[in-house]
Amino acid sequence: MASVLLVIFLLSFLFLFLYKYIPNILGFSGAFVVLGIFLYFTGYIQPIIRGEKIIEETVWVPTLGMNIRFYLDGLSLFFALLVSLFGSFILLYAIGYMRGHDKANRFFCYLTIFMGSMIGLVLSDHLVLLYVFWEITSISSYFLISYNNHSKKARKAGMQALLTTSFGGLALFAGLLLMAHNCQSFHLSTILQSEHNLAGSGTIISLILIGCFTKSAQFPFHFWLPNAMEAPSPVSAYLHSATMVKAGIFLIMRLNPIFGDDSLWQSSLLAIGTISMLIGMFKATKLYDMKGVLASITISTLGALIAMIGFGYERALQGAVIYLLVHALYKAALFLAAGNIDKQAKTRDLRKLPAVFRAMPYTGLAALLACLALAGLPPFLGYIAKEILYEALSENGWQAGLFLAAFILTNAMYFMLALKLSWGLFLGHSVLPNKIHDVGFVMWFPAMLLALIGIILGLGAAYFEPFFVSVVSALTKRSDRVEIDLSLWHGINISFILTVITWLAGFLLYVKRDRLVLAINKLKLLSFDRGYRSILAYIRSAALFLTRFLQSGFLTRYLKVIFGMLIVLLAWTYIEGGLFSEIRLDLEGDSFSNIYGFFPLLLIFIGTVFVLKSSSRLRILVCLSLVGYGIALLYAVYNAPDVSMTQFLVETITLVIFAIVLNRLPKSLRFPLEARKILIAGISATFGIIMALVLLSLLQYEPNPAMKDFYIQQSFPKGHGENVVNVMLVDFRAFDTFGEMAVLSMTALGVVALINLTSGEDRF
Amino acid sequence: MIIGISVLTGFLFAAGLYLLLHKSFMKLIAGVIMFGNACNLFLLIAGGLVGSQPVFVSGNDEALPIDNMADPVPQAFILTAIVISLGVQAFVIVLLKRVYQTSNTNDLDTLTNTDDV
Repeated sequence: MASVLLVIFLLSFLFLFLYKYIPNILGFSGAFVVLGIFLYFTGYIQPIIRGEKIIEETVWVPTLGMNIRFYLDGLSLFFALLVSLFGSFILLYAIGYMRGHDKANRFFCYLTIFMGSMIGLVLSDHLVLLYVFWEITSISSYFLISYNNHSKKARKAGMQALLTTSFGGLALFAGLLLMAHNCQSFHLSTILQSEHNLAGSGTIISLILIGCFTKSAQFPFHFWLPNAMEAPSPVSAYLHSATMVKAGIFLIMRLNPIFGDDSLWQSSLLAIGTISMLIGMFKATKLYDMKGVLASITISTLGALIAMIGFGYERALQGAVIYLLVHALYKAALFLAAGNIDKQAKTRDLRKLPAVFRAMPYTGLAALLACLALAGLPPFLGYIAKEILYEALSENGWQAGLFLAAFILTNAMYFMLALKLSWGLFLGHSVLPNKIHDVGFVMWFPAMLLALIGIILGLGAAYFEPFFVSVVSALTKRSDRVEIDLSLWHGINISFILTVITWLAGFLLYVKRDRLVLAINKLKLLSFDRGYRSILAYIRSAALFLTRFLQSGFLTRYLKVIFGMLIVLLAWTYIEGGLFSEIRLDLEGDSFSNIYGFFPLLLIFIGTVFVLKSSSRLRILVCLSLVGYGIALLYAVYNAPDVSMTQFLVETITLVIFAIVLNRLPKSLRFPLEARKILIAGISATFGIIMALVLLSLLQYEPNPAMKDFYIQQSFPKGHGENVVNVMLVDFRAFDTFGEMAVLSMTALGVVALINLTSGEDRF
Repeated sequence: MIIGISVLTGFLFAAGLYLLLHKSFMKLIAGVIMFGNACNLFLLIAGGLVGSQPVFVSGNDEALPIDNMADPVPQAFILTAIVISLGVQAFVIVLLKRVYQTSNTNDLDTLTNTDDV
């Protein structure tokens, strides 16, 4: 299975580099390669029906436990077949659709990358691998939506889809990691088998569901899908109706055996699914953009599917699986037909479209068949799916009954929309503009084929029963297999009666459709699109504020923030450790209480006060030197002659440098405003007090003499020197001193360079 | 006495920071120097002021009066620190002189972007 992915990703590179030169050859052979992959997967049908579960592992990063591990059971095989079959059709269609487009090679590249990652996603056994593929589908979706990168609308729609789905992706990642942590395994196959009871772990469930809902465009994240219709039609057909938006459903189905018994899982699936179903349906009735209508129906149908899974009993799950297939088939066919009409008639507005059936018979026929499937008429698979769902819902409690009513309403609306689409578009009598003729074979054939598969599966459904049984068995924890009855006619029973009611209601809605649209327009649905925009604007302004605050460019403000933080941290540590009470002022062994020590202290203090108060450059310079020499004296008093000498030298050098440039430094010393002065004086005083307190508490501790003893004892025998401090610097820590020399040389170079730069040269 | 030095070090820190927070170049330089001095003193005191004589040993002396000697480790550190702070001071002085020459401003807060220089 790793080789399948390799082939597809290889194909994407071929498309990128060679499509310009041999578009048709590459396009057709690509479609056939993907069809071959579909056939390869059909080879697994028999083993899966026998109940086998196939695991393949390719070693990748074994030390991290990250291997490319694939897990094939009924569910993943079902999706892999779906993705590869649709992939080949879409590639075929795209050859026609993208002909003459600039940069079509990129389009095909993204499309095949998406295809590969989608197959990878459904096959992954390792949770991290699954997440990686999940994100690649989001990213390729972004590129495909904003493929028409000259249009601002397309770019915005792409960004919206990316932001929304990757927000969900992050939540999902967190959820998956938590789940892996709880189950002690990253392997889905192990987690599914294990007896770990994850039911009740609300955080994991909500995180994973957020990921699934964003991907499947469910309430309240449904706003991105209609906008994503800016993408070229093959993308809308493939990503945004048949496959990618179903990734969320796939994951929910995949994890249903683990979480299925949890009440949070069930209730959130039911609630969100039902809300999305109704919102999508209302939206579809309101819109006139053909692709917008289809996208809204997608939201609605996906919501119905999610609610079905929420019910959790076998019949509902069976219905969900078949309904998913049905939806993929008719929706992709309708999108392809919409693309054809868009290409030929240059409009997607339902009110402006002429009756194109006579001008485009093949496209028209395909769309008509797809509409029949949407309406749920026999002998389409859609009819069977609906029958099963009605039957499942009518047998269970009040929640199911309530949902059934909503579901019947939705289906009646679908029936109405199907009538509207097929009658208005294809059979109605409108003026035909000239020169509209049907598209080429490669463009109508895939749509027709998809619609026909719906009939074939409907008529021959009984033949596929065992496969569906094995698919559904992957959705539940229970091991016993429940048979599916996929025959078209069950006699007159409750579900048949409900179906007839649906049709009648749908017809009635169609007759009253103008009044219906008016009524729905009165329902002021919340604009989630606007909510998304305001959240985005809010995040942007918050980030801007934070950046302006932290990166103001004012040195004094940076210093204030840094030292403010330092004060807070030190004070917190100090108070937390209760160090204040430990300070004793009557230290024993204070052997420095002589008059020599007092003199430098006074020197330093006076110097500092004058530096603070003075407003003359020269006086500041002199007083700074006073402080420096005072400190040098202090070192001398405290038995550090070398340090003292160095300090004298350094102080003198600084004095010289300072004196050289003093004349070139600004004369005025600019005192800050009084209010500012008080603030900075407060900060400085607090900092000084805290540092003094820290020192005082440090004095309470007896230093460990181990290092001192070592250096003093080893100085002569090892370093052959009598001055221990010097021996340490040039012998024990010679490399350190060497580095210091390098630093000083660099500084000297910099100083010389800065002094020698003449003002003419710095306009570089 | 040590208490006095500790308090003085705190005062030096406060003075250094107070000068650093000014907008004037001259005060900034003074602040850098003052802060460097305060840090060196901090190291010396934090390392523990022990002993009553400088750390000199003699090769002939068998029994070293270790207990009476000062601790050489903080001293070695301070030596390094002093020299590095010399580098910093020299560079800051020359750099600010240069900035003043080119931008002709004495206000740190006007130097918020490179375009004006």
